[in-house]
Amino acid sequence: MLILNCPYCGYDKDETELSAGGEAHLKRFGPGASDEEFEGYLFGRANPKGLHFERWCCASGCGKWFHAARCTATLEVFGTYKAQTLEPPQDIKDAISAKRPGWTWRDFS
Amino acid sequence: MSEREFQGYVTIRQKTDHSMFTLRASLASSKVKAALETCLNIAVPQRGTYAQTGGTLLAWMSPDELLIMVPRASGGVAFAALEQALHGLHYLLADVSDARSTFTIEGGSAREVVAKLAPMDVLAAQFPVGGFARTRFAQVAGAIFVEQEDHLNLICFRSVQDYVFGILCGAAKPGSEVRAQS
Amino acid sequence: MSTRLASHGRLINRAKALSFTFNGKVMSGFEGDTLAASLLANDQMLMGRSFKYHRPRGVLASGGEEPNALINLGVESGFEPNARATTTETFAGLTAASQNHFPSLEFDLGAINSKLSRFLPAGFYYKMFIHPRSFWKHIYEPIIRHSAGLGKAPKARDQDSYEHYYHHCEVMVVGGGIAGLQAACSAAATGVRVLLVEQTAHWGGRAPVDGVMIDGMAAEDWVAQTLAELAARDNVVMRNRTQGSGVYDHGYALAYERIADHTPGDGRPRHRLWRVRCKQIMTTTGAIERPLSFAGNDIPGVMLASAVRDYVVNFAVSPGDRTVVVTNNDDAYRTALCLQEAGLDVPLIVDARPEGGGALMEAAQAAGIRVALGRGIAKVSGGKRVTGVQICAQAGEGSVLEEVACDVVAMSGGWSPVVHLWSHCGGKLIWDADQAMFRPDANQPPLGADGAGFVKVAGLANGHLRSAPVLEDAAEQGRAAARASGGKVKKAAVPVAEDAEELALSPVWLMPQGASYALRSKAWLDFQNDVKVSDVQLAAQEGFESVEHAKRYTTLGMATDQGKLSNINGLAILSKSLNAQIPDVGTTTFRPPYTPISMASLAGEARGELFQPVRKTPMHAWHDSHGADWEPVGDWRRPYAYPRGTETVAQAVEREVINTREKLGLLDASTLGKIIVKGPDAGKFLDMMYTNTMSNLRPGRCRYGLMCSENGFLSDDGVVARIDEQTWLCHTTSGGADRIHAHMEEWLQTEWWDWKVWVVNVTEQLAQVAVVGPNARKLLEKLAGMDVSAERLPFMAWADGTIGGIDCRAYRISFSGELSYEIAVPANQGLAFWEMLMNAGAEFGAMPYGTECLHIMRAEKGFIMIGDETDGTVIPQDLGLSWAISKKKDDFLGKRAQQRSFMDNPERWQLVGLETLDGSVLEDGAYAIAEGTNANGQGNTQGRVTSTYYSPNLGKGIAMGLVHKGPERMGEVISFTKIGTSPVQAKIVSPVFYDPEGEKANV
Repeated sequence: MLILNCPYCGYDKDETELSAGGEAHLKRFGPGASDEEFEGYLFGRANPKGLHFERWCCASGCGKWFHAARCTATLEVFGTYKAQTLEPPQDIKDAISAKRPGWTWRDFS
Repeated sequence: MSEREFQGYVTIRQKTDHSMFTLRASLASSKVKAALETCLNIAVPQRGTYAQTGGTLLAWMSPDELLIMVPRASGGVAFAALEQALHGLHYLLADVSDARSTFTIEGGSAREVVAKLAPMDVLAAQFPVGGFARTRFAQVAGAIFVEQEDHLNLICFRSVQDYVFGILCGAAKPGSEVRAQS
Repeated sequence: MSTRLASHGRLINRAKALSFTFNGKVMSGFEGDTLAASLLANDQMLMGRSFKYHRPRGVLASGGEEPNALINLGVESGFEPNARATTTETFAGLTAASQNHFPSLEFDLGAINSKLSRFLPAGFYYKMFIHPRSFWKHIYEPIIRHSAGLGKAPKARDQDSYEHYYHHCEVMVVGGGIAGLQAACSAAATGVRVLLVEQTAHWGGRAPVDGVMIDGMAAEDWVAQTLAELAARDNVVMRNRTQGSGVYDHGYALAYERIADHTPGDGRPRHRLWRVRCKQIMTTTGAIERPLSFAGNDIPGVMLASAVRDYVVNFAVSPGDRTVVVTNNDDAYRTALCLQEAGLDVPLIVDARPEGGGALMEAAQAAGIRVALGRGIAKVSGGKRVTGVQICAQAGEGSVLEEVACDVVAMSGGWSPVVHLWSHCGGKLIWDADQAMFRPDANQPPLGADGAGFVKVAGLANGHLRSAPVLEDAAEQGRAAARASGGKVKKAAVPVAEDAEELALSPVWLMPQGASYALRSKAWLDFQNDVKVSDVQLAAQEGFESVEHAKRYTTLGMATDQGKLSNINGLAILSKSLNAQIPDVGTTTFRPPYTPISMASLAGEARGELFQPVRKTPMHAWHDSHGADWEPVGDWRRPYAYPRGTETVAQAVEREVINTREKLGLLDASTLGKIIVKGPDAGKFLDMMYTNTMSNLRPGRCRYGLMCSENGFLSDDGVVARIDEQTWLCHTTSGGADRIHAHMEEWLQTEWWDWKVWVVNVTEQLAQVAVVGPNARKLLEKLAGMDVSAERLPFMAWADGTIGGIDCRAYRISFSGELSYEIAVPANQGLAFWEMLMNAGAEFGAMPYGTECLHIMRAEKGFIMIGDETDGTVIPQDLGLSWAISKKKDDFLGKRAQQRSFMDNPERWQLVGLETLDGSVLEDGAYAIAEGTNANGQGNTQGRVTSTYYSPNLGKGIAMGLVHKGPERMGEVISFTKIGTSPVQAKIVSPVFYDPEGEKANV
């Protein structure tokens, strides 16, 4: 049972108060996209053992979506950050680098 | 809406003397803040808290949502005044007086009774007087705030008010005290 | 025989005698007794029958690890099976009964299994009951089901109450022995919040029994002093009768408090489940003594040496008059000394080690007790009670050297740290060969959210068998836990404990080491499941080499005790059979809870009326008092119909349909979702949300809209009303309000966060009533207040106003094909409004109608229902709704998905009406049969029924369904499956069965 800090309301939220939203930092493909692009957007999901970026919603709390960078193997949480961003902020990247030097995730490193 | 009361090792009471509005607007906007302060004479509260002056209460629901409570008698006037004060800004004000139910939990063990239902840390040091939080009570979402050390208020949706009253009464049942009463 | 002693009994109150019953026999005990102690005091050593062979079994242990003494407790609504007599406190009026026997505990027919045991080896069930296959269902399974299981299942509803409690602290200490008390003290001194839990009713663990001295005082006194110190601190919460039962991710732990098990009926909750969140968990959970594996080690009277000592010291109960102690370590000598001191006879200590010489042995010899070194027990004599032991050389094969009469055998095979809580969340173990035990590997703890270990272990649980290092370890780890959770650590003195020196044990996994098959097949490893040394050896022989496989094949370590006594012995036998080292074979997985906890405590308050939150509309009570037959819709309850008098539900539905079509019906539509969307970009946003265009809707008007998922499938529908230039109100399905509100928020927050749109869900603010039927306008005009004429309020328009003095918003929309108004009023006035409509409508024939009437009327009109016509695989195009899909918009959710070749395929099943030739009602979900069979030999299908009803207006069955190229096949007759009969013929027709021109609504 995870505890994640909601970057909006500031509370440490119990997993039972949150709802999980799968992989973060997806790029939406709509009309005009190729079949491959659309398939990747709709169905292609990373399932790493280790560092992952995920979407979470503070569902029983302030109702805001946020992102969490965590390790799927050890459940270590490197940080949470607001969802209105196209990539993880630098302080989150630094926190990961301190624990997992040389990490990469999709296009991020 | 019915007023009801349960006398357990704390007192549970339904409270119906207020109107309640939801305001969606950026609370970081100085124009929004100024409009609210001018209209209600209360500063917008910091996150995790609420502010109260006279019968008017403002609670921080999210970075762009405010809960506003005013005495029921002046509900219509206050709503119109707010609409006027916010005119021209990007906002959405909705009357939710009938959409929500409020319960007071009063007594020395008020926090303990809430701790039987909510996963958040409701102990005094983490959640002082003036604190406001949205969390889960057993199986439903709601909000809780600390008016006084022995007086908490819980807000839930109207449709589940019977359920919430039921779980509060169960948690407050005499004999179920977690810590021995002195 | 076992009996009550005149001396000893530190935990009992002799001034308070209690009466209880066992198998109907009245017995007496003392306050402070466990049930096992009370039974022994009444010479009741036989407490149960084993699971497989129905062997007579006595109590083996004195704590939660007990495998044998499982009993049925209480009666009827207070009944509970499989309670351990060793952890049940005796109270006045307690009713206990033994389990797993017929007709009686003393004489059990099932014991024949024991005689057949050589035909019932490991894996017997798997081997025997496979062939012939048909026998499984009708013969084997019913018989096995009849004979399987220990206690009876309760039949009556549980009379007690249970609750949860969320507790937050920095350090949780599990186990209230001297290590736990010291760890709690050391942590609490730093100022952090500490929770200390102990599963029994008493603090101090084994130290007071074993005569430990701490800081020059008896352990008992030190415990009392330390408890007082802890109680005086306001940062410490202490609970006895509370078991730390599970450790989970990120510092989550469950503790199981048995508040009123020993005081039933006092009004308190029976159990409380503590849902703890902490930064650090200390497991000071002690250790469990291991049995020794020798033939007949399950005969009543063979007990753990420490348990024998516990019964004497704690409860003043002597398990028997003459006790032979058999051991491979020094600790068991304490039992011999304790018995001797209590005036009981100890004819012999059998020590498997070739050499002796320790302080405890010297003390025993000085007390005149004979010690036989290098010896073992070949076999125990006796049936329902030990009568003696046959002594042999441990190094040999079991030749009997001497026989010693006794009625108790106190055995000790060494100690196993209780590592369960350390292991629950991934803590690793190391094999300590010197002490022959698995203990926590401090370098591989369970990891928390910060990537560091969040569980610490100390004391016996950490492999320290002597008291002085136990306290040093506890103090150090307690401080470390506090430091890791933000406490300010200061140096402090550690209490000094003194106890007897002990020599090393010598691992003994089988006694004697070369025991013959006959002996091995009577040497029990798992007492509860009847697994013997020979079974584990057979499993290894048959290739079950993984410890997890061997466990499942033999049932070693299963059932209620989960192998607390058997696991280490079993895997030692397995590793020997595999010629491997114990650590290479490894342990099975430790899973919570530590011992079984009540299902009711897990449910907490969620039972009876509070099992699930039921959402109620403002008119709920009215419906209830007017005979509503309820239907769950999401978490809501909606009236399905309102049967009157002797009417059946089906008759009521028919009446409601005809009345609404001919006169006037009222529907509580408050559950309908209502979401306000406002802002400069609200129109643009709704054009993305809906497949059709909402931005060009005029204020004052309504439009039906469809929502699809990004995958193109239909997700929700409803009428959208434009309120003003920047504001729309979106109706959703009854079950869909929260989901669609969340869906809108998700897109606004995570994709289009620069769009200026606000969304508020006002579903619960409004009560909504559908006023439906030819007389609808007459009723509203009678109540007066607003103009509801066709000119002022035409079809698909809305207006604000008052009706009968109540402020409202009236929508001229229809889901029935009738003249219809949906009127929203503030929820708190919903009931008054509803009652006013009912009263004023009486003269127009007003009747309430339920959801089934609603369904029939919409089906008669060919209106789709989300969840009936859709199932997550249906796109609007399948339902003839292409008209509601914008061709002009560049984008909307689902547009790209619907361009995929499979979605754009003319071969898809599409919506049609279906009319049976014989007028009967098709079955819901019935398939349309096509020619031929598929690759699996199943009949091909060409469609299916999605909605089907009896139409009272048309006097026949009507249905909608999805049929292959359906709209092109009007008039064609196809066959539909019907369970248990031959197929039913139905004609493909238009889905609009009633008033196809829409004249009735357009007035």
